[in-house]
Amino acid sequence: MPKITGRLLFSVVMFSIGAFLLAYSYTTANVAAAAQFGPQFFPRILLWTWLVLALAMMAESILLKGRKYKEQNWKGLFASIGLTALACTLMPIVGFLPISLTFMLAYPWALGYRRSTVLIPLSIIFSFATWYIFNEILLIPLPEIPWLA
Amino acid sequence: MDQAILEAFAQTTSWMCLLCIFVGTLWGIIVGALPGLGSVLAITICLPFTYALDPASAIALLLGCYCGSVYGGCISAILINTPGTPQSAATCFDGFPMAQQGKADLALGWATGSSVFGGLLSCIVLIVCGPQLAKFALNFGPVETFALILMALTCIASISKGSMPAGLLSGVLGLFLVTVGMDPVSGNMRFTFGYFKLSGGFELIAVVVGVFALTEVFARAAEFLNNKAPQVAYSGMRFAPWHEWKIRIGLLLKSSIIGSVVGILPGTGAATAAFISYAEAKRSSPRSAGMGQGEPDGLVASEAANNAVTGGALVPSLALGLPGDAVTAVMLATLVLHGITPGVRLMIDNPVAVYSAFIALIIANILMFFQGFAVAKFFARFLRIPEPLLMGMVVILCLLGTYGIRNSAFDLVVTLVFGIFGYILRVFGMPVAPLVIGMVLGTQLELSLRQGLLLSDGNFWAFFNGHPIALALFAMTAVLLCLPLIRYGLERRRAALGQAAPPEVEE
Repeated sequence: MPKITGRLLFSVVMFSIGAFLLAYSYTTANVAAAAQFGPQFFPRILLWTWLVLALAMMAESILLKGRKYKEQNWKGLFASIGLTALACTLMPIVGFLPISLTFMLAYPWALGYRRSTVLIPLSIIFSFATWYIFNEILLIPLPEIPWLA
Repeated sequence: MDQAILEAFAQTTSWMCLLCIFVGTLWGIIVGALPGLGSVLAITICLPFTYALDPASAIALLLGCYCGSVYGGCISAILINTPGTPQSAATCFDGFPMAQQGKADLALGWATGSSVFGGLLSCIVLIVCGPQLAKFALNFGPVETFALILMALTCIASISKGSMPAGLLSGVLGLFLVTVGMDPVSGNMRFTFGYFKLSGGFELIAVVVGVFALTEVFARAAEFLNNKAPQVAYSGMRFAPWHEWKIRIGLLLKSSIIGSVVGILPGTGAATAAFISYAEAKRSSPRSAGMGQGEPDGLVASEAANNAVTGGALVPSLALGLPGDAVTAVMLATLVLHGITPGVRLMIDNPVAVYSAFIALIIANILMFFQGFAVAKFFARFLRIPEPLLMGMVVILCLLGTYGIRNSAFDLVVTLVFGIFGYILRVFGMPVAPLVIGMVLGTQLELSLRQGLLLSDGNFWAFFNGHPIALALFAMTAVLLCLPLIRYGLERRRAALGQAAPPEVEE
């Protein structure tokens, strides 16, 4: 996709979000709190500026010459986002250690590094060392394994 | 003030603080040496370790990491012709040719000596300028504070990489994100959409970790990661004889001053300083003919300047509480975690924390010299770490950094969302640094505006009457907003004269 089209689309999306938020700031619930220099005063200034800048970005996208995007490793990107999302969601439920052990095996594997002789020991050492440093030395509690708590 | 300096000295020379500087500097050197990671990521990974520390130790850890990472970038620039951080891009010009000539050890010696010199000189600039600027800031009321923050944000956004509207929109986005949650004046909820967890607003560190660290990880994963280690042959580090240094003292001084001055300007950064200094050395050095082919002058100019930025960048951050770039924004965000509010009264209200930072920076620069020398033989091993392994560890540490603030699962989701959002912004050429800086300064900007309006009975024009400092700052903001037009005019003039435009410096 040429960069010009992507950037124009992005500007349109940003403009729409800004417009929605601005409209929301004028809803009935907010009007009551919108006395002079009240809670909605500053956000509205920002949202109006947001809209003007999004329009400027749109104009810029149309006026300037576009470039092609670099080729992306979509598989790598989605694997990275997917595994991170899983880790974020499951860590508070399953606990730090199981997630860290699994993640440190799965993540490099998904990105193409598959030397199990390195992955397995590294995953164990890194996870336990991190857990020990945070939980025992820095006294920052990490999510516990529920069935061991 | 003397009491504050003594107290700061006692805090900074405690074993915990010294250990933090030692570990931070070493960590910074290692991460800085790894291509593509950079200072912001090095510092962001360190964040969770600061939660259990006192403010002085926390800042010492981050400052050590900052200095180390800026220096560390030169290692891969010299050994594999790939700058570890953008700041060291100019180091490649002469560093790698020296390595090809079999003088990698000597190149590392030049880079280390120059980095330490530049770093220490910038500490002097910080110690001289910081308190003067802070004294001047005592004249600031809400109107001046508003004008100053507005000017700084405009400056950062307008000279960021990419287009000016995109940079400004990123800053506005950051300012808006701070308004989500409870209004600091009335206590009313704003933009929570009835969702209780948003009532406390977005946790700054969760957003910082997302837009800087996770975005970087996703961007690296979207490129094709290099699983093969580069082969590097060299033997440690070696310093050139004194007479070789002696003839370059003028260049060292000049480059360090360029770095310190550029560092003070918000939004410019070490990469710009290194390129300006390199260009100046190329113009004025008697050995300029050899530059680009392994001439030490190129290394001295680039490394002294980029390391001198560290002290310069801290001048507005510590004296006025204004972060000039992403690194100082993360540092000020850490201060917030420790109950210290950034702002124009930062140095006046928290002199011990600020003086501790001064002393920590000096110690970090001295330590950097010895650590660089001690670990020189192992540099090649750091460069052999496969990226997928490294990225996996970075993600786990990022998640811990977010979770550790207030043990909140919601913050993990915020980090992930902002990681993806930051990646999208990056793809569409929108800088993320103004977003974070906007978040750091947002509350203060809003409060100063509302206080100023209340004091002037709602008359905004009163901001321009009877406030000469504010008026000057507003005028500078207007000039910054006109910068694209000025650039356009200059380009047209250059085109008319048939000159080539200077190369753009990556952020």
